[in-house]
Amino acid sequence: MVSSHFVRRGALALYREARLNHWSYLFVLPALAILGAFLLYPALYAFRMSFYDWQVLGQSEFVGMENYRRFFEMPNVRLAVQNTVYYTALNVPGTLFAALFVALLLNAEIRARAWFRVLFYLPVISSDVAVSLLWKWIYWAGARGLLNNLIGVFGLPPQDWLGDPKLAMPAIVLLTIWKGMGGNVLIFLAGLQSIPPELYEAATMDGAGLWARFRHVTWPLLRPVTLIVLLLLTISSLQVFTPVFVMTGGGPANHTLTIAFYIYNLAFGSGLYGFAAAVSYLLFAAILGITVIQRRYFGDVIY
Amino acid sequence: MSQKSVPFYRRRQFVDAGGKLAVYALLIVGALLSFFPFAWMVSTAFKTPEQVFALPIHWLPDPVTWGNFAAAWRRFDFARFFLNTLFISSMTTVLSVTICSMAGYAFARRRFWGRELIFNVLLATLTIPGAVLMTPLFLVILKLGWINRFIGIIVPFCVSVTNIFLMRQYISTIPVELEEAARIDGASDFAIWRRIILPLSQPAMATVAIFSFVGAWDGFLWPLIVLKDKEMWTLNVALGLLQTEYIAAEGSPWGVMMAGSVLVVLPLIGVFLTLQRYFMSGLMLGAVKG
Repeated sequence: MVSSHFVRRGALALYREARLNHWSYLFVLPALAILGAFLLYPALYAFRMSFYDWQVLGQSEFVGMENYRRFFEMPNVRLAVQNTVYYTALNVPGTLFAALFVALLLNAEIRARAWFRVLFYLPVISSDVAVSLLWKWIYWAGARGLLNNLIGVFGLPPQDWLGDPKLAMPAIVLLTIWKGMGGNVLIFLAGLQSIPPELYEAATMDGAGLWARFRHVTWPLLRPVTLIVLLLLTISSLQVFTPVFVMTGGGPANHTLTIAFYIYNLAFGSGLYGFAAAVSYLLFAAILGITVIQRRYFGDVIY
Repeated sequence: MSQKSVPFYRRRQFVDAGGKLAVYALLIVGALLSFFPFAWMVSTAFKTPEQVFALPIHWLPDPVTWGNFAAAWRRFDFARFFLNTLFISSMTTVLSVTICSMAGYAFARRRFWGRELIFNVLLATLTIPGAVLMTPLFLVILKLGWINRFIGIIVPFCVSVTNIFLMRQYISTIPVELEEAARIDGASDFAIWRRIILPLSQPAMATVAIFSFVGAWDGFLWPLIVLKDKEMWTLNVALGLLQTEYIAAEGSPWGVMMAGSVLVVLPLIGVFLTLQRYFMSGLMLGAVKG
């Protein structure tokens, strides 16, 4: 009797579990449907498009590798790649070290830490368009611009910040460092607070100064966090769009034309959807490649 | 957090008193740099056109004028753009919190065939850059007939893998016993989610809600692509597109454009300052566990 009771309970449990299974799918179904239709499917669709001379209306024509071959021939592509690399090379270390520095300051035992965090975070939640417009106004050329007035105090002549081919990209980078720093400060701060204080005590007893403590305790222990910040910053930098759209429109003379802006122009300016898809896929490949390299370089170190 | 657990007499100062003064000085300079551009935005928004371009620079508007806000709100139809943006952001937030919480619950607590595989595929999609999606997603939306409609903005971006992950992480910390007790009492699966999981995961839901709202409110590229007619525009699309028009047509009305920018930025800063504690703890949750 006892054993059959257990058998029955076991069967019931199995039955219940099987029933639960189906309900589980209902719980994930909305999320999967939306991600499938608007994330996975378009990503795969783009891959197919990249081999076609894609027309929105009318017949699309299969062109094989033509779009990829064209990539290396279009005159502006080279510029767009160069500019994007330049932007990334300035923006990633700029934001990373600024954020790390501020996080180190905030990690000292200070009052009003919460208030400082909030202040540094304000640019992060502000819309890209609004702050790009604001900085476009700050960069206003001629004697009436705010930045020109400020540098005028030091006797420097007014600059055409966004109109000068040499200055336009660094000017955009300054905006994006200002805008992007706060979020990374929080990531670094979380990392810093998870370092056991005992390590600093031990280092201090061994006579380590401020720099030595940073160099031999903070920096190595922060490495995983630094990697996350580095990856996130690189991925977003390679896709920079809005500041370029609002502040320079890619100018002067294409000196701030970035890949994302170029893709946008290809698809929605020239209607070259297939070519735009091919360029997107090359960007995707570049991002994946850089991610893998950074991960390998930073991830393999054991400490 | 970890510093709190260390008794005060064991805490080592990283810097001495003089160093501390330097830390404060640097932080105050940094905070001012962070804040100063916003002050300039607000100051410009309250200036008359003559003051905007006056030399030497007028740091503060005198007299203060509301004219720019009136012009932005009525003449340039920002009232409508504001409502459009509010509608899109609210709908996105409601959908996002509901769907991500359901999925997060399933991934945290329920066993079903293919769970790990599905979850790993979702995590892998995080590597897909937005720039790759721009072109094909436009064609998908076009096929669905969603061009120029709010649904084309709301539905494609109301689910994010990051938010599902965040919900999952939080829900796994809720004691299983509560769920089991409810099940013994005969609660249905939906009721368990609705009556146990939802109330207990409020901090994570608040975080997801804020992320979704901010993301939708600040979005630019996608609304720019989908919303063609002016009466459908969001605040950001209006600001981004009208600025070139205005600069050409009206001799750089920076007062009006800064007033428009204030209308975009200020509501979010208000929400942020109110819900700041949720926001920060949520960010820390993501930062530590992500």
